Amino acid sequence: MIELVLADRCTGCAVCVEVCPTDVFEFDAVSRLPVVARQEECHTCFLCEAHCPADALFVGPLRTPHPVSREEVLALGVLGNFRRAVGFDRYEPGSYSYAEPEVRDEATEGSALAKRATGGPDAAIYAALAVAAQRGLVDVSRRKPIDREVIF
Amino acid sequence: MSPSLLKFPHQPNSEEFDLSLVADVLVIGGGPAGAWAGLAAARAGSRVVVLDKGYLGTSGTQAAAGTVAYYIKPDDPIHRDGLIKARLPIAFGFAETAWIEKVYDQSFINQDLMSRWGYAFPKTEDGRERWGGMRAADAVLFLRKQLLKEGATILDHSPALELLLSDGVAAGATGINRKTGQRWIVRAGAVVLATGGTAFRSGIAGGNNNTGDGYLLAAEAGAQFSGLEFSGQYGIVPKGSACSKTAVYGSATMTDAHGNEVGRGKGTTVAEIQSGHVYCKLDKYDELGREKIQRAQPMTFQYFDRYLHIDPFTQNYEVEHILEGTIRASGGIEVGEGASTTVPGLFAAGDTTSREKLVGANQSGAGPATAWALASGSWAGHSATLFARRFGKAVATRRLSVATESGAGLRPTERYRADLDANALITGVQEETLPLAKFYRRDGQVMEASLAKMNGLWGQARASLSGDPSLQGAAYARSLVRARETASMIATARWIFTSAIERKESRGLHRRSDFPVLVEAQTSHVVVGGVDQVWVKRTPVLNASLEAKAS
Repeated sequence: MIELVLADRCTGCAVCVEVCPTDVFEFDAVSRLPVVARQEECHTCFLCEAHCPADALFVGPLRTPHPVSREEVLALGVLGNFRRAVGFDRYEPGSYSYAEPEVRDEATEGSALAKRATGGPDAAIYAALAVAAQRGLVDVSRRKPIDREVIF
Repeated sequence: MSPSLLKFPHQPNSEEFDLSLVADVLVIGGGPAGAWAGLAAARAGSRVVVLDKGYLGTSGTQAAAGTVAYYIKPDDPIHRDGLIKARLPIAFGFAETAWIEKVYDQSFINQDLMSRWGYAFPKTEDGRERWGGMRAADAVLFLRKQLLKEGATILDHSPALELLLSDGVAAGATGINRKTGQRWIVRAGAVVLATGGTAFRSGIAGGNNNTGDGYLLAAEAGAQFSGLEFSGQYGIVPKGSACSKTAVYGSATMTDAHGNEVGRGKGTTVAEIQSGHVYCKLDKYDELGREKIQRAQPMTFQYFDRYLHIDPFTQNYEVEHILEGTIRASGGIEVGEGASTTVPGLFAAGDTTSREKLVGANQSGAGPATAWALASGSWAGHSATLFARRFGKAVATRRLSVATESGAGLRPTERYRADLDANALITGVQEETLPLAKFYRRDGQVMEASLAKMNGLWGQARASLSGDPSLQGAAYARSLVRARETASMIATARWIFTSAIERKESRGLHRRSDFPVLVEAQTSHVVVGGVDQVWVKRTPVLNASLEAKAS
């Protein structure tokens, strides 16, 4: 079950609020951060974690609540490991979902993510992910032609 | 009628809804089957609306699990024969060779399309594409993007609550947005149900939205079910975990509470029922195997990364069984050619349908189930397009009604009772459907008692269950959706127990302690339907393959 939103890492992009299939999160208008409003609805699919561009979510593997603190989660050293394992990371070998995104100004405009991507080493990935999040998935039409041979 | 009963509208007039759409094809459910139905319809020229209770891309059990997707290479007869022959002996007399071929041929076409559209299939070390598998997190998300490219309209967080009919023909649906509370209506020339199976909210990863909603929609419209007795499907999870992926247990040593080695399946089940505990050690992997399985199944190993800090390859840990139900079994809505149901204009695809012709009385597992989702989804979308063409623009103006027996969980027949707790009713259903001792090993008398209890719950739900009328907006929507889900689960349990009582033998996923062996004379389908009055009948197996009967 979803256990924790790490507020200091969260960018407030609200992708988790949108993609959670069981409507676990609410976006808090004051803090501009998502909160776990209905933990009991979570079915431990880990997909909020996979979609979180900031690795700010922690899903526990149990189907009942098992509270953990921010410090415990950080000590585990697992934040983002599921996202990377399923390939939601264009800088990792074997990545796929966000491969070769085409960053367009009009697409990034207005995006909470893009607004946060004002500089620093993560600016590029935030901008790219903003596009990806807005479209549901990035444009893969510019991918290189693939080998058509089929094997098992 | 008290004012509270009017909160969810009885008459489907567009004026009563916040959002009113017109489509040629409406697809209810946005897992792989629904996504493919939408794609097939849109590519054939239909105006398409696909809606999902959650988010199309993460919703459904496939998005959480990642699956194998069988297909047949068109130019490889050995592969073709091998794939079919492997399945027939474990189908127990219900699978049809021609149907299996058709499903896996279609699955090839779908995977070929995905490849052409740019889906990044996994690659081998020499750079060739590896088909036959869909990664969990991005396969349906990829289809979402294709749907948008094809001009389909996607409604997320929008569970369908009621099917609309026009002279007995499926003609749309109404529902509510779970996040905003907006009520919507979609008028359509044809409807595809792709709402998945159900595990009665057992807690399996990705399974909570799968509450049998499509079954109830279908039954209200007059559709029927086949093979629901083949539903006693359980997965194995580390104790307390949600992840029922079972590949690792093929390389494990399983033991009971006393340390005796037991076989997976029957052995572990008996061990859990009798000794209360089953233990496991993944000790049959070599170095390379360990590395590979950890890479292939990241969710499985989160249990050890995040909770139980042991080495599962060398140390014992406790596991338990968890219901996967019709999500991974074979029973469901009966469909014929073109994924048609017995209701005109209503088509069904994926786990929500009966997969008996593909896998017989056994589990649909991942390989057949995903192939079936792709194939039946495509067929349903195409059939729905052809069906809808006869109406043209008249779709927008047809006179619509709801089915006579509809409204469970929405419009109580007596009066809304605030003290009737939907979650308590769900617990009542789970007490009969989740335990191994009742639902894996079945007994006639025990099931009669379970059915009687379900009939009682149905009576209460029908009379008094609905959304809490004192709530507003999204809170009301959540309450209404939960009420409807509850009615769907109770109804589904009634159909399952009725089917399971009818089949007086053991076969595949239906195991009777009072009728422990397969009876050849019972090689016929158990078909159920009805809403307030549940009925059951037997129908002959028409085209099952002879090879299968020999086993």
